[in-house]
Amino acid sequence: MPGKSSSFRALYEQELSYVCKSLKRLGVPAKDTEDLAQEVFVTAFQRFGTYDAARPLRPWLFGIAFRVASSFRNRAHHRTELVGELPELEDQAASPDETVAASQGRKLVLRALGALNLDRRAIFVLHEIDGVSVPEAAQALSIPVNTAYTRLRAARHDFTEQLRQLRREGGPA
Amino acid sequence: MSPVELEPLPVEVAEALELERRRPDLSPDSHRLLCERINLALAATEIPMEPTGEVLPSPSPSLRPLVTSKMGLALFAAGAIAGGVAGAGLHAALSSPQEPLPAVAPVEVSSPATPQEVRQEDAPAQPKPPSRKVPTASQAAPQPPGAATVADPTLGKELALLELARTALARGQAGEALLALERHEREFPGGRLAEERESVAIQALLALGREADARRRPDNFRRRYPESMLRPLIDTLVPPSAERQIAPPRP
Repeated sequence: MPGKSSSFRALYEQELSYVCKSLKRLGVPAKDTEDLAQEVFVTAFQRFGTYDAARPLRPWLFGIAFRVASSFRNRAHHRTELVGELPELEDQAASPDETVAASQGRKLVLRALGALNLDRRAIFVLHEIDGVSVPEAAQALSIPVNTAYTRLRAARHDFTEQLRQLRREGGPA
Repeated sequence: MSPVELEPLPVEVAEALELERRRPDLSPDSHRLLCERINLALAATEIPMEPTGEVLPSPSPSLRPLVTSKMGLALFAAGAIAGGVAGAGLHAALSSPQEPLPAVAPVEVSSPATPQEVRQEDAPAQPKPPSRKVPTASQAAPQPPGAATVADPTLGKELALLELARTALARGQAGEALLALERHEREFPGGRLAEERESVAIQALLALGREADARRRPDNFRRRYPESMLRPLIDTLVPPSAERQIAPPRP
């Protein structure tokens, strides 16, 4: 169905970077980001019937990415094969204003996020990085709003502690 | 737990998150290669009529063949395009009151968590409300392949306003949603997304309790777009006059 493919292509062309960043923030290894991004959009395609077009799109996509990342993590516990390191999906080349410090700072954030369990990580990323309101994030993650607040509060505490610890250990400021 | 209890993050944490927020997009080459890969995967995918249930734990109604509808996908893509095209603009609107588009502030739930609710933190997630099927199309005629793309700047602007309105409505700011929709109506009187605009406007009016306007607008919609795929939605929100009982505002 060429028409269908071309219509959906506009969607993933627009949101591909966002989904890849979200997967990275959810702890997906660089070598697996490409596979899982594909899985997210195939799932989105199949789940279109559940999407409420009156609601913003990105929280819904993030919810799918979260579940894909969660499933991946569960499968990874049972994997024993060793795979070679593949080059990371290349980000845009740094602008002239981009500094090494900024790049290292982002790596530090990802390391600090690694201290959070996936549930807390998801609500933290959605609210604190993507700017999604807690009720909207709760809906995207299919959790009660009060649960979302509880997890967010714990995530904020843990992330702050971890970030400070990493900096004490010699991470970039 | 209430939003009042969420204190501002420490400065160094907020600054670190801002760095992450500015993470660059994929390089053009990576983007192109991954797009092609997804394109091939979708071309090879046979879309099941039932959700797989493997990835999303919440039960969902059976899929209608919306995914086989070019019109449905056009709207989905339109929403996605708006999400991307409007992403930067929307972020600017949210953070900068000087932006011409209305700023949309996040709305927080104010009810504090009770100890019982805290104990239920790990309880299964509440079942999602039945999804409202939105068989939508901006035009009665199917869009030609590739017509609704970001290469169309006019459509991109229309989509940006629609997405702004949807976001405001989702955050409980129906007044702001209407402002965006009124702007769309002024700037794109014959726009390709007029039907979508009307459907969101009707929902915003209902949320504001403006019943008189909420009755008038669907009647106009039915006259102007008798064959619209949005008719079932409109009829659900505001039944035709013979069966009039205004539907409650969407939560």
